[in-house]
Amino acid sequence: MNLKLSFLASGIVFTSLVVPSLVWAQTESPAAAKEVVTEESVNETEGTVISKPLLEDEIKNVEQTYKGQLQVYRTAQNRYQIAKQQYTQLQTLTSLEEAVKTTREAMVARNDVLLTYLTLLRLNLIQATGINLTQKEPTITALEGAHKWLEQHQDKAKSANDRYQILEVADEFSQYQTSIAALSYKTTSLLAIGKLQSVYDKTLLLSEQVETEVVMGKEDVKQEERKRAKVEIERELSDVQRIFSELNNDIEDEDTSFSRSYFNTLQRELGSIYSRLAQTLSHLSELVRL
Amino acid sequence: MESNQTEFSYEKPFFEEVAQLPPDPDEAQSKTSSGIKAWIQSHLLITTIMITLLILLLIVGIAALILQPKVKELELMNIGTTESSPIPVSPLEQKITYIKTELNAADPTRGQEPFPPIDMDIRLDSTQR
Repeated sequence: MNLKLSFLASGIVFTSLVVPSLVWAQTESPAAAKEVVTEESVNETEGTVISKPLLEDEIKNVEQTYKGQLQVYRTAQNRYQIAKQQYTQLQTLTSLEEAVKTTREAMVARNDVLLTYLTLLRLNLIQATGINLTQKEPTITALEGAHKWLEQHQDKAKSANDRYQILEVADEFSQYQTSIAALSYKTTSLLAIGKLQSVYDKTLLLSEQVETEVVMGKEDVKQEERKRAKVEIERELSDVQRIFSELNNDIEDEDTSFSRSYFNTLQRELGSIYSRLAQTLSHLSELVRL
Repeated sequence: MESNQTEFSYEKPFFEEVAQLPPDPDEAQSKTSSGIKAWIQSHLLITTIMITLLILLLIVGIAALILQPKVKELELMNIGTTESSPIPVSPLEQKITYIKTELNAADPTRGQEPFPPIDMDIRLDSTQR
């Protein structure tokens, strides 16, 4: 009797554990199939979406140099400020000599930082996508021009030996410093716009593909819902395009003065584009699943 | 003091120890074997369940070992192309995920190369000529 009971119990245990595991194994199969599909999709999208960086290594090297030069500049700047203060207080020839020397060193270190920064901007701009060529090429030329001017100015700074030559070099730089800053802010603005413009272009292409494959490709009860969703997405993308046009018009306008405040305003505008694009991509994701 | 000695002799057998007979070897053996049988019968249920569970654990372990390299392979394939997000079900979703990653990289609040924090007016004399 007990033996029969034990066989019955083992049968129940086996059934209750083996059957669910078999069911689990069957439910795993579609997941595996899903993974295979994903793998194919990765290969399929490789050619269209993934882009290889061209100047990445060079940019990284320049960034390292830039960081090192900033350190050197900070040290030189501190020494310059101390020597200048001592000269103002003591008014001795020795303190003047030290002040001239440290001022020259600080100028040279600052120019080195600026030269590398301009190089970095130029490389980033060359590598960037999503920027109008009508804006990109003249800005690259302007950056090269600024770099050349700064190199010549650097030679003068290095050879300045007395307070009058130092003053001359300082005056020359002050005449050009606004242009250099404006050019830098213009370039960073273009780079910031370009990054989002590139994402927008890809989203637009994807939206067209979704329309072909999902909205028009499937004919079922949800087709009308999909069409309405697509209209909404098109409206969102059109809003983003409008903001981009306004920003590009601003940049192309010759009266626009590029400065820190301009860049801060631009960042707020770009923040709005960023949020809209994020929402559009979420909506596209929903539409694909409908 | 008691003087009746006969009463004492009458009660004597009651206080004597009963002589134990030596156990019968056949009877003892049969008692032991029936005890083991009873023990086996009473624990057979638990033993069977435990053996069944052990077999099942072995099956699950072997299955996990067989499936594991496949999963690792697929994970390696996805490295460099996607983030460790849930795997999209279609190529379109895969593209959406990729563009989302690009969008994160284009966040305007970070990743910009700011103008260097430098003094643009380094000069020894406080006034321009």
